[in-house]
Amino acid sequence: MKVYILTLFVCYIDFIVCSTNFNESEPTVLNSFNETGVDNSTEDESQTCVNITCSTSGLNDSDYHSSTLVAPETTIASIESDKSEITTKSVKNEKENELSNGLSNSTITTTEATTTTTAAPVTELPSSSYYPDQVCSCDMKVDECDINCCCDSDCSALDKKVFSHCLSDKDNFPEDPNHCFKTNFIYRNNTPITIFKHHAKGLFCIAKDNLPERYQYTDLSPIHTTKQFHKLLKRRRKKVFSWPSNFKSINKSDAFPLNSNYKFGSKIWMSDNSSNLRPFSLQTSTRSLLCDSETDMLFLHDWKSGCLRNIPSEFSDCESNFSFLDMTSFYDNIILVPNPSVLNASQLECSDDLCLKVDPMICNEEMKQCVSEIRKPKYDVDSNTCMNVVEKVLYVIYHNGTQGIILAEVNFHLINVSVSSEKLFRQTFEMNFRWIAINDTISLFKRSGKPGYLEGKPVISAQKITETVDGREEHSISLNNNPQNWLTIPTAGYNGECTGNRLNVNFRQNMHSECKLIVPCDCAAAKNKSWYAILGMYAENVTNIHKINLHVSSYGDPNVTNLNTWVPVVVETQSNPNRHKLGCQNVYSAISFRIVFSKFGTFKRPQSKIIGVFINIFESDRSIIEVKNQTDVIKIISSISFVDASKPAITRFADPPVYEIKLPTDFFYPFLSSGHRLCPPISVILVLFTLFICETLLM
Amino acid sequence: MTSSSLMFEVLMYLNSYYFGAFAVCELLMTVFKMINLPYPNRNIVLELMVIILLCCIEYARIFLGRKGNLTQKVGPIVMSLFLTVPSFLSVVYLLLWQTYVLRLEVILCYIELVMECLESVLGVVCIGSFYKYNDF
Repeated sequence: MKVYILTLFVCYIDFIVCSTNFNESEPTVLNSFNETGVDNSTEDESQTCVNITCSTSGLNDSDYHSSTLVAPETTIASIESDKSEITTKSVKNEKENELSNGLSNSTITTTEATTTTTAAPVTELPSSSYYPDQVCSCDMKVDECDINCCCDSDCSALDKKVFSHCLSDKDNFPEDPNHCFKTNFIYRNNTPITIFKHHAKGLFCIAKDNLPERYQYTDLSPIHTTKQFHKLLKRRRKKVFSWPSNFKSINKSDAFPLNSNYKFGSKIWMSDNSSNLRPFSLQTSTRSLLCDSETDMLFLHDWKSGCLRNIPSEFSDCESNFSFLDMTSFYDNIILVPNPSVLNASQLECSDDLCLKVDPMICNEEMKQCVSEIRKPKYDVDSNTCMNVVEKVLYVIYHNGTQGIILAEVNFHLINVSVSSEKLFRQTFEMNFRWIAINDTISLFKRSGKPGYLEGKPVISAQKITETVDGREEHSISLNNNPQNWLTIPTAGYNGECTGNRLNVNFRQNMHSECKLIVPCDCAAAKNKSWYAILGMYAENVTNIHKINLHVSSYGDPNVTNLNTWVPVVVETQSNPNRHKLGCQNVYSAISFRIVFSKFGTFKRPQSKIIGVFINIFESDRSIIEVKNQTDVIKIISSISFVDASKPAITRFADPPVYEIKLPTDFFYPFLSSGHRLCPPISVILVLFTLFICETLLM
Repeated sequence: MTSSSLMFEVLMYLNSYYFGAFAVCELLMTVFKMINLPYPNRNIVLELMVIILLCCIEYARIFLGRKGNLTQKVGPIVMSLFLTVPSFLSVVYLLLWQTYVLRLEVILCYIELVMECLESVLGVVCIGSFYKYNDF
């Protein structure tokens, strides 16, 4: 009998459990919406009633993907009341909702909140959750088939034949690796490129997921009041990007820094004719490529910029005073403040003895060989050109650290441009700071790192020269200070032809460059020209390409005296097996650099050194046959690749020492000895003795 | 004259062992899911309760079924048949409505359901044969 009662009881409980579960079979949908509801009610004193939905997700025995469909239609009724008691009465209301894609019918039960007070529904959330099925992120064009968009309903089966692949929406949806079936949710059944399911192996994958809500964001209701805004932003303070308060920053640094010296990064001040003090600035481009704005120059901050200017279209434009074509406009009105502390705080005027004028110089294209001269723009009628137009402006400021500017000069490079309308030319502006104590700036050598190479710095190379002194051969390295004379590769100009402007081989920068080279159909000339294109200045006066004796510095800080720090460049040439019988020999057209480097030093501050350079030079594919007064075109290809050959640190340690502790063989003799049978064994005596001692100690 | 059903007894006997294995697997899989997957707390309690209650019911059902069959008494078998309903529902819950259903669970639950169906059919047959051969 007891068994019957017990089983009945158990049964009853089981039913309760099952039935409660049915009621709550969509727990998180409700949860997520209730959360928003709670949010509302806490943020707004006026009562907000939320009530929402049930979906079929829990109870539905439909197939896997349709079970993920949750269609909450939400209604929020927000009622303004003075905290009067609100009683809610639920009215269940079932309606069939046919989903547009016809995948499944789901029954939606909406619980409407009705109150005894005045009901005034204020907001209505839009149909909140999108089904994964409805998302088609590649369908951008309305009423038009998007190419390769398999979920686009505008595409017919015929259209889809042109598709190469389906743009995947996979990245947009999280996929649980635990699922047995991985559907990509998107593709409709009626397309030829349709649903694909992966069947995961193993018995412990999820065959049915009744908690699809974990893939859905909580749908938040829109914000209406400032209070809500502040509350929301306050909670997310760390996530919000905030701009610096720009009202303060503008005016602050624009004031003239009285009684202070220039520091790195402080603005350089100047005075114009109107004796106003203002920061010294140069032209630059911001919105377009044209010179449309100015940048303040900063002390000790080397700067370079270029922008486009209109070519003068008329005679008058060319010779107009103080235009950007005229070199005088770049120095005449400029009087630099050598140091702000020099000026009298009360007057703030730049007299000639306190302030510095800028000395003009005219230089060549490399900004060397300058002469102190003034040339105004001049229109030449015969050639219709505007002469002496400023193309490059280089301000060189000589400073002495804390004492500020000692000397200032401006170097110009002038060009002639043919007068025409709607044409542009490029003006470049540069600002260089130099120590006054160092005169010879041209031969200034810039390291590529100390001691190891730094990334992006030019690889230093030089030729080894062998001299015979007193019958002994002496080797030395002739290092040129100009990086242009180190390892370089040719670059293409605007028409694809190789130009004289060569690119340096920079450390750890893999590069590839191709350009056209027009060579005369004359073997010797073609050979020289191609060699020069490939090797640059190292090809000069070389008869055998294997004997150029080129060396590369292992370290970024080259040591000319120590030949061990230089690595020879290994050259290998490959001839063209398909060369025409009459074709010129040794016309090379491709070069590939393989530069092997390794790291040294500590892990914290690793340094790099070059341990080997291998150059592979290929003969031109195109055979050049001698024809007088003809030219041919070959393609020069250069490539650079760096190989890291660093080995990891040695992590092997010495083996731990072996402890060889052995007891002598007769160690236990007293305990094991059976010599004196009459006496009690010594072991017993010992044990008794220790026990006795212990006992006395404890007492 | 015995009217006990051998088939019924065999099935019940088999089911008693099968269900032992089933319950152990279910518990282990629940632990596995709890460790591996995000679980709302309420669902864990709910599912564990379902499994434990299922164990109790199933034990009583098989015990009563076998007792009734061997003693040729209708009462325990009727009780056993009555208990089949919650047991069936619990298994269906594990098969369809619990938070995550693993593939192994699907297989095990289907086997259990088939057994229960067969047993209830045979149970009814058994009762019929009792009535036929014994006068109550």
